[in-house]
Amino acid sequence: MNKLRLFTFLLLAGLFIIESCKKDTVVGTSYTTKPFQANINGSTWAPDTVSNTITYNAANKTKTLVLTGTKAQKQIIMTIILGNAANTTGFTTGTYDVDASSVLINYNTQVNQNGQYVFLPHGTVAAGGGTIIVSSVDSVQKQITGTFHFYSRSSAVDSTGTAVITVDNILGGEFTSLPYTLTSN
Amino acid sequence: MYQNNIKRILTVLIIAFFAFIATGAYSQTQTRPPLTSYFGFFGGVSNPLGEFKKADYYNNKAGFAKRGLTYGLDGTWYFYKNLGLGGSITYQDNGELNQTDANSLAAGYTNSFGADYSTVTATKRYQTVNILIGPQYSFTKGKFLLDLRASGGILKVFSTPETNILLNGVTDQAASFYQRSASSTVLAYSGTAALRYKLSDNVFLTLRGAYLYSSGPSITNQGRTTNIGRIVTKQPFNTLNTTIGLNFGL
Repeated sequence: MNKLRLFTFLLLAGLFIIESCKKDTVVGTSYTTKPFQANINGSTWAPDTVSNTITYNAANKTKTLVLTGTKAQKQIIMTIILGNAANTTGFTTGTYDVDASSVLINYNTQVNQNGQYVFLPHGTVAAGGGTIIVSSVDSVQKQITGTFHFYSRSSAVDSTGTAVITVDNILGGEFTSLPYTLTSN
Repeated sequence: MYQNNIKRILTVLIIAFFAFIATGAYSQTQTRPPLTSYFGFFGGVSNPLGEFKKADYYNNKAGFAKRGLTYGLDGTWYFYKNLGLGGSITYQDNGELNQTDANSLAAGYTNSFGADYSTVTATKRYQTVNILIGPQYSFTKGKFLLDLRASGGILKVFSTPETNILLNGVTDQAASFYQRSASSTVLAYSGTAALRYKLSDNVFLTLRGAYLYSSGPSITNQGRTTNIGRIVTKQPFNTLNTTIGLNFGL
């Protein structure tokens, strides 16, 4: 009986030591599910201030989509201008490559300029430097869905006279069922 | 599997309890010596209950606790017929956050803070020892004894899960913040029912169900700049331990 009791105590002590040594680490990550988001230079970015408008100009027969997102000193403005457009509540789906005239993308960052915080272009998105895909438009609910990607290139000369080129990569951008306001003038 | 075993054990205990109650009138009238005091050991499963078991980001009392191992020592000194003073010392492990929990918490923080993304790193686990003492009454019938005990004492918390939360895209909370692991001693209460079977004069095989409640340790949150999102300041404990063991008469 004494051996059984000794075995019992040793068993309990052993179990306690085993349990005490358990040290697991678990890492969980969750990305935003916001309807407008992109990956800027490797980090997810989801603007908290979004403006999405479609404007019809009767005189020029143009329809202009302007989608703007702003958050944390970063701003993306995407513009698509359709020519010979009809005054309808929708927008033509399709793939729009940046051409620096009717398809434009600006990547801005907030800087302190003479005591005022303003958004200024952080480089240029040149023709061929990006694409906006409008995949679906709900002209009744006035919601637009699509994706985008681009890069913005800037160059400067540092204090040693060396040219410094900076490229911001904005990838995996998406806007999902994003409401838009419609105006005509 | 565990659920079925727990249900079986509970069913046996409940049936045995009512059987003893039904025959109690007879047994209480018999003249007999006090029961033999005993001590022993047990091991089994600790099942979290209620809020302690829940895995809900939006419930600050949810403990994300898991079923785990429990074992310990138990004994009773009979001082008047079937009435005794029982005590136990029990170790129990109620697990740690798993991948699903960490993902769920990360999703909650991302949503609450409007973050671009959140990373939750979880370490440590629920590890406690409780030391409880209280009156026990035992019913006897043949080779079976049913012990009922109400007890109180302390719950020594060695650790609780710790989380480190890092938000991206939240200007006001740029640095990571923590829900620290707790280590303290708090009060605990317990109700125990055990069914003992006499294997020999001094050896019993025991099935035991022990309910434990404690308001739990205070939890420290560190590095927060706001009170947004899930904030746990106290973690109640609530478990049912179902065990099997051997007891030895003294």
